[in-house]
Amino acid sequence: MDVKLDAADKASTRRELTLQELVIPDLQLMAASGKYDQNVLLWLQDAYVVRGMKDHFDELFAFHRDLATQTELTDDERWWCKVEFLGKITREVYDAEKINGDGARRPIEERYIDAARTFYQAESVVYAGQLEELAEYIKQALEAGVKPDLERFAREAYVSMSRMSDSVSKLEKLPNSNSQQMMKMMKQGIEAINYAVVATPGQPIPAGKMLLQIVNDIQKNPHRYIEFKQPQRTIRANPVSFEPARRNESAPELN
Amino acid sequence: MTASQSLAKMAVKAKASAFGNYIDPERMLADLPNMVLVELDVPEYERNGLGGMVAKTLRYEFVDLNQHGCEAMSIGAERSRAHMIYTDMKPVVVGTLKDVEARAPDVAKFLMERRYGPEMVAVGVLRAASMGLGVATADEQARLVAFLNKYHRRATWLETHPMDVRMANMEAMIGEGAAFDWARIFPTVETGEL
Repeated sequence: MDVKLDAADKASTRRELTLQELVIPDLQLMAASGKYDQNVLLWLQDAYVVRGMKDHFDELFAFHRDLATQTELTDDERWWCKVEFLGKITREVYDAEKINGDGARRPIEERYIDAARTFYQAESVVYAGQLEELAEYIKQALEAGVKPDLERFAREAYVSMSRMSDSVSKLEKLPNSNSQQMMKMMKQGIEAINYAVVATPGQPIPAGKMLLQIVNDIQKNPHRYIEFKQPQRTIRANPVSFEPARRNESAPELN
Repeated sequence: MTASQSLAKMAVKAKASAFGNYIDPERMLADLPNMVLVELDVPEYERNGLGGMVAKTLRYEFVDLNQHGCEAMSIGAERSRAHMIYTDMKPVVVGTLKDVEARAPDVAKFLMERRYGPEMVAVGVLRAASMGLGVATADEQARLVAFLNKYHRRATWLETHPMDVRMANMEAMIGEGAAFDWARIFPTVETGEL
């Protein structure tokens, strides 16, 4: 694990969800129709997963304790037991809401547009923030007399820009979207990098412009610069189980 | 108004009924500026020797609740769950990256020279202050770097194992809280020391 490549990796994998697959039949059907973005559906589902863990606290705790006693299970089997259990309580929460009719809630197909709009806007804001932060970092580094690794940061900028561009494109297709504001934010982020210029004694270093030039080079041939990963392969957490009951009981004290 | 200022005031419009994070009705949402760094009380971070969670805010306007709220995206980890921020997490806004770096320019410079990225520099400056560390001696530098690498490693694991974390938190709620066995999780680099 390279501790220094934080932003690039995060930008390429988005937010971490509790479950990486759809377990609610209605959402599975929506995904199968091809009309809906699976990322948005997984995000919508996650609220039910987390609510399920809260509403089914006692059941979850009993499950967890029971699982800890099943020492014959492999770590991988243990992992899938947890996924199945979470899927079960997630469906229960969703079904209860659907059957009992939480008055404020419309069918999930109708809520999708609102959710997608929020999802893409939030993604755009995160990536715009990353561009701003990168520009600020380069400026601070140069002012401190540290030469930043422009190629590395260009890769991060490229990932943020392409992700943001993707989100804005999807946003534009939705009714009542705020895509113009998001586009403006992206331009501001790029401009912030462009202006990250600091004069060193006798010679100005147009670091921002240099970085954007590298971004252009990356854009022409991304595979040469960036190792793309299959999200479904990288996003799943390590299946090894570490539930507390199997933890080392003689852990040293906090220091 | 600069881009940073306009980002700070922004809030993404959302409906709680069409939102991908569960909003606990029994807790009070915290309204904070958008895209600023905050420190939060998050039990799994504290319990596993990392202190408070350092995170970046993402602000929302929940039009159907008629209130604002924020998600916290953990920084210093490779990925992040989105944690809803509640007032009981005692959020402390520490400002932008620039604000944080200005607190200890020598520490920030030291970390930049060692090629730490923006997020790790921010975590490093904040933790150096809370641990009473500078970068004047090789020993202090080594301690800071060791802590940062540990923070990154463990925070990444915590953020990518929400089920395990949830179960550990349940045990903590009934008084049986314990740290994860880091020596088992990362056998080649961890001794398990917190």
